[in-house]
Amino acid sequence: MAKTEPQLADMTYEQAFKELEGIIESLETEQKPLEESLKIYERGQLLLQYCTALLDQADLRIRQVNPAPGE
Amino acid sequence: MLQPSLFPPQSLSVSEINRYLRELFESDEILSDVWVQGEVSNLARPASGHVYLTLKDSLSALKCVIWKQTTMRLPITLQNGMAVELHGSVGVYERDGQYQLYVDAVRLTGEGALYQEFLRLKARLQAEGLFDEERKRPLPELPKKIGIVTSSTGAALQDILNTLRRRYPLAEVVLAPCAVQGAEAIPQIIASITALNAEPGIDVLLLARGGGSLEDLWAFNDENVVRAVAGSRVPVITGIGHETDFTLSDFASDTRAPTPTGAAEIAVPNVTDLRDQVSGLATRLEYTLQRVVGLERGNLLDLRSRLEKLSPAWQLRSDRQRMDELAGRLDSVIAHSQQFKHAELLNLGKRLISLNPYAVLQRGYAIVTDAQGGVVRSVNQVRREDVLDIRVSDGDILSRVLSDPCDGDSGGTNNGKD
Repeated sequence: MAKTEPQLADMTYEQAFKELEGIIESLETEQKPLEESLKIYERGQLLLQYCTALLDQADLRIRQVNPAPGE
Repeated sequence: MLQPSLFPPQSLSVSEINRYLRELFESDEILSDVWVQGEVSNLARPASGHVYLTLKDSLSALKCVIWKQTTMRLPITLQNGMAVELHGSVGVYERDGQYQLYVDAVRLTGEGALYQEFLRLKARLQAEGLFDEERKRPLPELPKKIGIVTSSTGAALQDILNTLRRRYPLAEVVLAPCAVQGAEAIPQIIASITALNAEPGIDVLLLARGGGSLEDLWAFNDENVVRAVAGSRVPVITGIGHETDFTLSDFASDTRAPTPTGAAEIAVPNVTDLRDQVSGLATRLEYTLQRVVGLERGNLLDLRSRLEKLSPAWQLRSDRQRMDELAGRLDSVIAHSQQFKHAELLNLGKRLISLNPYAVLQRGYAIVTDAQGGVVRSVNQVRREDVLDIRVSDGDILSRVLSDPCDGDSGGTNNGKD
């Protein structure tokens, strides 16, 4: 898991939030070696900070498309 | 009149003829319930609050009155030059001898026809199943990309952007601008919906326009626009006009909001809710860590106590305890057996008493012993001149054997007894 997890900066809020939820659920329901649990917990902390930062810093991005004229 | 009558016909007073005309007008079915169309002119609004105007067309004019109470519930504000349709009854104002239209309803010219067309199209599309509840799709919870179809200059766009900024600034907005009224609106709205459907990753589409007259909103009742809304791959939220305005696009969309702002509110969650969610997850995360660590700590404690049990010190303590235990048991066994023995002894004593041979002596028996103290049981044990002791219940009789007892004779006992 540690090798394949995506870089935070590339994640959307939704992805980070989902992963965080998943992490918590796995910690809550599965018995894992302590070291792995701690690693997962640290990842959860990072995701948590990332989600909070996204909410704090978010600024609506607006883009315009020009529909094909006369369609 | 060719032949003048003897008396000239009776004349009516002015007020009589005017009253007669008023009654005549009032009894006429057409005049009492009629729509009249024309252009507003000579609009007057005196302090009384009533509205006076002349409705005219190219050839003719009609005086009209709108009472104060009626003016307050009119959907539009009349202006000179406006093409309108007025509803009411035509009556006579007796004082001036004038007939006029007493107005109770006003609509813009063409609105009636438009409304009929609206109802026909609605019924047709409904029959086709375009508005069916089953066609409505759920909206995404956290839309990443939101497509907006509206005028780039309208207040609706600003309302939507402000709402999205306030509630959910995480989203990316893709605007496909289009005219929302006039002849070009219909093809442009359709083109914008098509363009946003072609755009990758759009999660939800807002189709919006600010309030306006029925005519202003008409593009959203156009059959092709309605079909474009219904056919959109991306779920559509409509926010067209005001609370009370329902367009056919509203019926065809997945969700209808009363206003553009309402559409934006429906499209996204509130960021404060998201913060609550995140802090809820933070609490859970901390809790799970505590639980995991607590669990490991518990395991460790368990191991420690198991290890302690294996140490020599524990063994010694354990042996010592075992010894104490055994000692206790021993004590109790001993105590128990002493008690038992005591009871046994008492029992034996009782039995002994019951077997006391001397008790028999009371009944006349005697015990004979020889000089050595042996009990004499047989004649063969004694000879003449032997000294015997005869024990009876209350004492001993020392006696001497007078003759040799005979063998096989039981008299020996008798002798002894004698």
